[in-house]
Amino acid sequence: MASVKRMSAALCGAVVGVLVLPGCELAGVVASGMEETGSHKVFSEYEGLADKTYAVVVDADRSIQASWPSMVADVTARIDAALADGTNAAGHVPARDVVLFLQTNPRWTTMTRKDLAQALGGVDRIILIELFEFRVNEPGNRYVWDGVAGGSVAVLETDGPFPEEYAYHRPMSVRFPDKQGYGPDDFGASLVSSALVKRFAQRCAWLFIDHEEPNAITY
Amino acid sequence: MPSPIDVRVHEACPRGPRSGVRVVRAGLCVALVLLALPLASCNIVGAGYVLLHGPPTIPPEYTLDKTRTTALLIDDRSGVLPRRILTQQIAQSVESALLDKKLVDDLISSRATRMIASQEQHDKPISLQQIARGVGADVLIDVTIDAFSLSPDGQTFAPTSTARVKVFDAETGERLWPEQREGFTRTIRMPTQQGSAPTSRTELLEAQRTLASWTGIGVAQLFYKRERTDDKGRG
Repeated sequence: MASVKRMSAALCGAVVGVLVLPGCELAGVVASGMEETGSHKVFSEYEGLADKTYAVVVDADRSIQASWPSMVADVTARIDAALADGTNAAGHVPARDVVLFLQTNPRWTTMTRKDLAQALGGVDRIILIELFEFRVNEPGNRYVWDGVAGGSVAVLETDGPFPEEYAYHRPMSVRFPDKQGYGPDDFGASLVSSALVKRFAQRCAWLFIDHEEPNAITY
Repeated sequence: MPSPIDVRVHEACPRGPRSGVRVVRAGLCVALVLLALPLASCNIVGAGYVLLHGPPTIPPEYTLDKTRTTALLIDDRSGVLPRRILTQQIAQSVESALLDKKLVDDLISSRATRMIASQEQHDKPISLQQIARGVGADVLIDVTIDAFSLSPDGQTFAPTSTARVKVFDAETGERLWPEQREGFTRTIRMPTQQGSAPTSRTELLEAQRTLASWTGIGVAQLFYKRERTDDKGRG
């Protein structure tokens, strides 16, 4: 009688084990799905824009500007709009005014940072975005898209003790597409360049904004 | 007539010697088991030792007085750093590590010391004591960057930096640590992986930034006990 009881207990245990094991996998799949579709909070790296005025200045290499004439204006507008929405800055110089000033004053690169800030309405912060690399395919291979936008993000605190020095600096690089093997037959160069601009501007702006970042982000 | 079966009574082995063999065999078996047991559990013993004793550690080179207000100065007079912002990057790493490890209660930002140091003129040098007093610090950690490079030969990617560290008493101006006049030299070597060499300007900047962070942590590690595996350099 006792052995029958032991046998049935063992059977029950086995059944429970068999039931639980696939459940584990299911829980894993659910957790993995939640992880992929979820997001997490990322805090800003630079917090010095609060109650300050700023201007976003994008400086791209001449060859980049020649190949992509509207890119500087596009990057400036995107970053400026994101910062105006996401930070507690006291004010900002609209992107179109900054771009117009830079285009009409090509010698701005020779100005001291303090003078540049004065020329831009006496802003407290200049957010300087330098773009040294912007390409949609590997050099010499126009059949496969392999876009890269690379540069740096810097902040000049023109009201601080070191107006000519970077108070913050960080290299920045994004890529598109995420997978290899796409070419002009799949989509055009304009899509690659606009995706790069969007990604680059978003990454730059996120450095100044507390934000929710998707877990599955690929750039 | 069938042949009679040859029935012989075999003489039984004498009990005495046979029993002795068994005893010896059993003894050997026990000895083998006893020997094998510790051998098989060597890995367990090792893990147990690490759990109880902890991993190997390196003691601090100098222990800061927690109660005294401390300031940090990153000195790059010889212009070793390729960009000025890297001074700040190193300082931030040192400061974060010192505060995270709760080695000091009051730490004055390196920006303050840099501001005073920047007022130095060639005919009016500013002493470290003046810098420390200028920011209201009791103790000054002076870090001089002697080397900072991503490659020793322009080909190999082997980021390395060298810093000399000294600690001064701001009130008396005397050196608290180390005794050597030139300071404590610390070399930081960043581990690299194959194919990790920077290929673009952005990657180059990122590599410099990472080396600067490592340099800062390597300097801060002189002031606290760290695990040997976490050590960023060799003093």
